[in-house]
Amino acid sequence: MAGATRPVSVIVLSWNGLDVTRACVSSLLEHTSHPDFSLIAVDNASSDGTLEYLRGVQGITLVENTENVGFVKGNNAGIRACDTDVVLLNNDTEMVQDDWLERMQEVAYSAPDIGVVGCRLVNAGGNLVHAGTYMPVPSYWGQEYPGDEKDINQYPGDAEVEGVIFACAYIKRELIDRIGPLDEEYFSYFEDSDYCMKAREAGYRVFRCGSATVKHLENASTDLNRMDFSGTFRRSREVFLSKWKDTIDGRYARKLTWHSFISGEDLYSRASAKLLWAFDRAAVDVNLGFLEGAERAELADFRINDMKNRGRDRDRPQVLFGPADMLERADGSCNIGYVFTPYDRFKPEWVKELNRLDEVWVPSAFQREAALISGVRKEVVVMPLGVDPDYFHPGIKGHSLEGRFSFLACVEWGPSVAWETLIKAFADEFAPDEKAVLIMKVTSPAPGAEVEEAVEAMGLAFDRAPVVFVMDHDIPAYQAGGFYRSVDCLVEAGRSAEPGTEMLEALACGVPVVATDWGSAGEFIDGKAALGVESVPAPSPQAGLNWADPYYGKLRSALREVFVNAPAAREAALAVSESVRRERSWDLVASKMIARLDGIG
Amino acid sequence: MQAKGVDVDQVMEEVNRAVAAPDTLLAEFWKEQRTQAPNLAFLYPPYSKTLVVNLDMVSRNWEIDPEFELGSRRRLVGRLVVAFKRAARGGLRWYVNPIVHQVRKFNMLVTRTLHDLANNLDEISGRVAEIEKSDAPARLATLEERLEKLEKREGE
Repeated sequence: MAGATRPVSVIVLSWNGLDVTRACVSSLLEHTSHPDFSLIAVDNASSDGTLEYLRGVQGITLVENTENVGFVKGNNAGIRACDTDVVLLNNDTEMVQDDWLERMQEVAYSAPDIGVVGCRLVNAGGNLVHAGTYMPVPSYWGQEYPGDEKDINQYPGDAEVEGVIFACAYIKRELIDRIGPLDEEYFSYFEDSDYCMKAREAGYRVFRCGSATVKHLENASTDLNRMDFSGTFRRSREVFLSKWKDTIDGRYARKLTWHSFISGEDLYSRASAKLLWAFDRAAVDVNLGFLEGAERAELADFRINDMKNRGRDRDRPQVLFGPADMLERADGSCNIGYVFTPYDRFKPEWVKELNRLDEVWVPSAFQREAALISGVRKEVVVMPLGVDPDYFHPGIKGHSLEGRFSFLACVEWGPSVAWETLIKAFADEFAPDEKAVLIMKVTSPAPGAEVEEAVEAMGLAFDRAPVVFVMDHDIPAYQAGGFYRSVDCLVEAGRSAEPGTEMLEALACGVPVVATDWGSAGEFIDGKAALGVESVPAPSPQAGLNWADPYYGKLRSALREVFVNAPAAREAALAVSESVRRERSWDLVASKMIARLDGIG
Repeated sequence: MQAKGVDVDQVMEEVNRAVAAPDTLLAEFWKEQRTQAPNLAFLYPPYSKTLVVNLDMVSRNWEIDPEFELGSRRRLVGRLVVAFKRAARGGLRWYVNPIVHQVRKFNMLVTRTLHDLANNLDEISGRVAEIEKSDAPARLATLEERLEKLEKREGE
C-alpha cells in the first residue's frame, strides 16, 4: 500500500441470522490485516441468540436497537457511533482476503473526489455477482453486473462505476459530513443507489476496487426473517424514482439508433453488446433496433433489454452494423452502415446498398481501401472494433496443459478458414515427442461427422503431435479470455479479411498470435507478439472476388518460431497487451464514434 | 431444455485427458470404421447443441405480429408509401388478423409442446445417466466374476 493507513470503522448490521453473523464477524476479525480498524456491530433486536453472541465478542462496539429499524436506520446508528471513515458490511458477508480493507481504502484515497468505494462480491458458489451497479432506463430496476459469472478474475481494475451495493462499501467521512448518512425514507433496498446518486451530485465519484473481493451470501436477512422482499423493494423503488427519475432521464446528452443483432454468438451481437454499454456510459441514449426480424427474447442484460423497449425514433442518427446486404431498415435522420467484407472487395450489390446511405464505417484501413476500390462513393471512415479490458487481460484465469505447448485455433468450419493447411502444417512440423498440441475449437454448421470425415480424408501421418478437436462446445462468451490464457499461442489461419477480434482479444490477454498477414488482421502483425504468415490471393466462393490462402511452408515456420521462442513471444505479447487494452477499449471506440456523429451533426 | 454451457476449465480438462490417452476419442459412429488414429481426438459437448439452438430459435420466432413496423427507404416518396401501406393494412385487417391469430395459437401450442418434450428428454437422459452410473459397479462385478470363472476353466 502506497500511503499510511487511516482509521476506519467497519459497521456490521444484524437482524437475526446467528450463523451468518458469527461467520461474518469471525472471518472479519481473522482476515483483516488493516492495523487501524474497529468493528461496530449494530443489532436490530435479534431474537435468535445473535445479540447474546455479539455481546460476547471482545473489543467491538455494540449498538443495540430495541426493534428492527431496517437496514438504513440500523447502519446510520453505526455511522453516528463513530467519527471515522466507515465500511458498511452486511452480516451475510465473509472475508476471503486479508488486505481487502487496505485495498479499498487505498482506492478511496487515490483521488480527493472519490467518495464511495465498492468491491468485487462473489456468492457462496464462488461466482462473481457484483462489480458495480447500473440503473437501466426506462425500467428503473437497479441491477448489478456481471450478475452471476464464474469468477475468472474479470473486473480486476479500479474503475469509476455508476453505483455499488452497500453489502460492502467504503464511505469517506468527509462525504458523510457533506451529504449526511443514508436517507431514512428508505427501509431497505435502493438506499445505496440513492446514496451513490447523492454523492455524484455533490461532485464525488463512486469507484469499484477490483483488487478486493468479498464473499456475499445475498439477502440472508431477508430470507432468514421471511421478510416481504417484494413489498419492501417496491416501496423503496417508488421513493427512489420520486427523487431521481428526472436526474436519470436527464443524464443522456445524445441520441442514437443502433441496428444490428444482439442475442447470437456472432461478432455483431458480441460487439454490439459491448458498444451499447459503452454508449450508455458515455451518456448516449440508444434505441436498439434489428436488421432482421425482432429479437424479442429477454436477455439477461437488463440495460440492453431496456434499449430494445425505448421505441422507434426516426429523428436520430442510425448506425446499421451488420452484413452489407442487410441494411434495408435505414430510416433515420442520418444513416451509417458499419460493415466489412470477407473478400478483397465489396460485392457490387453491397456497394449499391452502401451508396444509398449517408456514410460508411469500416473496422480497418484494409476495409476502407476495399470499399473505395469497389466503388463506394460515400465518406468511408475507419472505426476499429474494440476489446473489453475487464474480460481480456493477462490476469484472467487460464488452465494450461502442464508440460505441453498448446496452439489454439478457433474455427468456424467452412472455406473461410484454411483449416486443412493449418492441420497439415502442424502435423508435419511437430513430432510426437515435442510436447506440442493443436487445439481446434470448431463451430460446425453440420453435425461433427462432416469434420471427422474431412480430417480423416487428409490421411495424417501417425507419428505426429496430437490434434484435439473441441467440437461445438458452448463456452460462455465471457470466458473466451480464459481459453486464450490456457494456451501458449492463438493461430488464425483465416482466408477471409474479416476483422481479427479474436486476435485482438488474445493479444489483450498477453498471448502471442500467428495469423495470416492479410485483411484487417494485418494491422496487428509486428513480428514479435503477432507473427504474420504470408499468403497468396485465392478465389473465394463469390465469383470475381478473392481472399487469401496462407502459405503452408510459412505457416509451418511461424508455428515453429513461436514454439522455439516461446518465452520471448509471451513477453512481447504481454508488452503489447497493455497498449491494446488502453487503445482499443470499447469506451474509446464509442467515444470515437460519438465524435464522428457530432461532426456529422 | 436448458442450454448447458461448458466452462473453460472443463474443456481443458477434457483436452488434457485426450492428449494423455493412448487411444483416440473419436465419435462412436467413427470408431467402428477406424480403430486406430493416434493423437487425434474429437471432443463433443455432453448434450445436443442442435436441439438447444433450434428450440431457442422456435421460442424466439413463434409469435408473429401482423402489426409490424411499416417503413420505406425511399426518402422523398417514403411517407406516401408508408401511408399507402398503412391504408392497405387497415383494409385487410378484418381478413388477415383472424388468420394470424390462428397461426399464433398453433405456433404457441407447438412451441410449448416442443419445450415439454425437450424437458422430458432432459429428465429421462438424467435418469438414464444415473442408472448407468449406479449400475456400472454391478456390471463390473459380474464381468470380473465371469473372467475369474474363465481363468479357472483355463487353469483346469
